[in-house]
Amino acid sequence: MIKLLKFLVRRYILIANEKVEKNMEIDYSLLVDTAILLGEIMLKNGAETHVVEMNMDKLLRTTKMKHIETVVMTTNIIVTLSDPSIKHITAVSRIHARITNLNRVNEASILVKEYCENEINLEELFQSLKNLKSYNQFNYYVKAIALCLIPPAFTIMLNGKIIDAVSALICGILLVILNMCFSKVDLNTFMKNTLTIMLVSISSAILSVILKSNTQIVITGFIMPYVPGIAITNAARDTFNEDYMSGVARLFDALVQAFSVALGAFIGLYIESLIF
Amino acid sequence: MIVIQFIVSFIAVVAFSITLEIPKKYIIIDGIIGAIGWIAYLYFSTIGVSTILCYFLSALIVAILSTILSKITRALATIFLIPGILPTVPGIAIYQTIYALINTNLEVALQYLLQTILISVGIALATFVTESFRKFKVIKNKK
Repeated sequence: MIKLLKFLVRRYILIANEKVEKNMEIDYSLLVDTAILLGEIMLKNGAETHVVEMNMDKLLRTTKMKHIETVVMTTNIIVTLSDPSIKHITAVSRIHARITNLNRVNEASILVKEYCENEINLEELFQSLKNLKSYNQFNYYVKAIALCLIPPAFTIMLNGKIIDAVSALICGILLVILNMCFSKVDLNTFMKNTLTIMLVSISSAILSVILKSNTQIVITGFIMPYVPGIAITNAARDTFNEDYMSGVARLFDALVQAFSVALGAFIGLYIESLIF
Repeated sequence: MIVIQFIVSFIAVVAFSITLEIPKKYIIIDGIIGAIGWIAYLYFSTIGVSTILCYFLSALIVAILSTILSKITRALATIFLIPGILPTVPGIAIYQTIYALINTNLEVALQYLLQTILISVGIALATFVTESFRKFKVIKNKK
């Protein structure tokens, strides 16, 4: 990793020296690298594909090249830049795990706007994007408290009583503890979701016996952070925007996630029906 | 009743926004937008509008608000849109679909599947319409 970084830094120093010789021309390979990095950050953190494409296009159009193509799909990015005066440059990137971190998406789009208005230069843009790649604005505890609060709030929104909210709060705390345990285990997301939901739905059934709360409402409350509601709406939005590839990809992503949650709840309730 | 729903949906949206890492300075605004969307949905569903239209209208209000706010703050519209539609997205409906499928309860599964499709299409249509009008401009003739 460090070797790779050193190599990259040396390459950029070399390229920078060349740039001075070429009377301050724009360094096209660095520009394409920056565009790829921008696309990676935006796509990895949950931006829509057409937003990613638009921002990458905006960045590359500053060169006024003849032929600029950016192709963004849910799992990969392809960029091509060519002109009679320079060689073809093409870069491809593959995205693996995807999370939602809208702060990074927003910051990346602001940086692109600043670059297009000549407030920062290309090296600064590249460096700030690199720093942005692993930037979190909330620490672990704030997120844990937020996750605890989601289930009781949704139970009351779905016409639950106070006792259901109390039961859901306990389930939310359990979710946080289970998340903490599973973050130390190397297991795929599907099994993690299924096991978490299964264990919490068993405990919600036990709570319904102790506190006389409504199990169905409590379950709908605490699965709320796990069900892919936003994903399925984004799938429909992508399809309306004539982006059929990513629409279908998102749809199947959402179905798999919903399947993992439903399987967990089903097994949990089955075990509960065996016990009581 | 409406006051309680407003406060509770505000808390829900703010908590959800923190897990989605919405930029700090917009979290309170997002909570208010989400609560407005939820109250609008409750209002439309009590006066007897059809289900898809309920979701469409509440999402339309949220989408218009988020477009205006993104023009003012220069942030992406997504920052305001995602938390705004959060209380109405069909997460529970798709969960019920798959749950009924596992339970081999095909009629219920089909009913929930249709509900999921209708809700998601309603919300997506509202955001799509707003986005199209934002990008609307007259094409100039090229020489």
